[in-house]
Amino acid sequence: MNNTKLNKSLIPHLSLATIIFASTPFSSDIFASDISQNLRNNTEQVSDSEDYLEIGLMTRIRDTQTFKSSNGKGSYTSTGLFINGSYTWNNLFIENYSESGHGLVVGYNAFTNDNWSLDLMATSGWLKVNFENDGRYSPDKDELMVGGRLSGYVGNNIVQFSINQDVTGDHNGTTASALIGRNWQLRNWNFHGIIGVEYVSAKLNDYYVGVSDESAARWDNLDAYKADESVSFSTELGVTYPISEDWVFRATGRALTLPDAITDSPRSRSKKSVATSFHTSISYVF
Amino acid sequence: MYFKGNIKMTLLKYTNKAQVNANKAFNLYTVIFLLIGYCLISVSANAETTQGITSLSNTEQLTQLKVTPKPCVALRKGQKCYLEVTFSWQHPEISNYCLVNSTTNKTIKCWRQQTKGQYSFDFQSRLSNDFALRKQESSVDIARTTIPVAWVYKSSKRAKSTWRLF
Repeated sequence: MNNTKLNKSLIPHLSLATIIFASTPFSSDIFASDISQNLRNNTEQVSDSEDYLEIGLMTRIRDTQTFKSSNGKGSYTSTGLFINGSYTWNNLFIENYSESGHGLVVGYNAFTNDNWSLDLMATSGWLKVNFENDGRYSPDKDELMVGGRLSGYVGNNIVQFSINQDVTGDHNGTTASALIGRNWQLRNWNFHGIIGVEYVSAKLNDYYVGVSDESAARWDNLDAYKADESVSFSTELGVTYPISEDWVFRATGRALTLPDAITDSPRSRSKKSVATSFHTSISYVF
Repeated sequence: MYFKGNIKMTLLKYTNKAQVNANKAFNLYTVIFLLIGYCLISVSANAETTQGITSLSNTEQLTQLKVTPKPCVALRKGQKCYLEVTFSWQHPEISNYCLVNSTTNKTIKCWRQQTKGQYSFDFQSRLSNDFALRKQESSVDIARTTIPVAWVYKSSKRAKSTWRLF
């Protein structure tokens, strides 16, 4: 419906990401890690991902889009365990940050210098904590995407650009995102803020919320729908506090605009333009 | 006890052999003499050490410098750590005392003609700091304590550049 408008608006974002991706000089000796992890840990560099493991308990409150097939409520609270950690060996790394919205990430640090770092990586839905409101219906199938992640410092901010492509063949969809964030230390409290924009290809959107002609013919209350590509915006504010050498407290609030490509789907039960989430956790760091 | 037992066994062994061989008996007596001499010297030395410790312990019991709470915990190594701490001290003699940060060699607070004192301040540091109680105009530490700075996330294994984010 509003996809023409979206097509126009996403072009500048993609161009910016492409230009920065293509023009950044690289060398090698540091590693990037997830922007949210860098900001939460108040690291000095995009390279400051250390080998560690932590296990925590998280409570999430979500208010998001619901789908007819999911039987889920738009707003709910849940509590569960999560695992965060990373391990690096000879430029190869494996990491899992529950706050990142990804699951397990396996990658290779391809280029780096003091300010910029590029990782090539594969992400899966394993160990994923689904607090990230992406507005999409979560299928039962495992996710596996490959792509790149460019992280760097621009002034007092950390920026991160990433592109991921599905390799399972389920939808062959593509996502691209640009995030910028910074942190502040107020005594031993570490605050951070992130704003971002994400492009999602039509193939991926259609896989999640599209309705094929066959499905529409099979179900009375579903019209055929082909989802287009979309752009959504997100913002996040959070705080991390070291309770002791081994225990960490975190709290994070997040909001994400839901694109028309998602909300216009006949699969949608509620039509929210913004999804919000809040999660708080306490974790033990080994 | 184990050592003493071994000596006793060795002694019996050598005594039996001494009845058979006079030369060996001579060696035995020499060994016994040396052992007794060694034991006497050891006991004497231990007694002196014990006396020294006792003497030091008595002084330490009467002189105290404490700081609460501790440690100061920051999220990441290298980050400045903040902690409201309270020092309390006591000493048997009335005199002028000073609380000194011996890491930075700065005097924090002094008391005149007191035997005890208390002081609270806002500790801010990236590293552990040592503190001492000293008599005014003296550089001798009467009592010492430390505020350790600890971190949840330790340093990166990779080289860091000199610039900082914030």
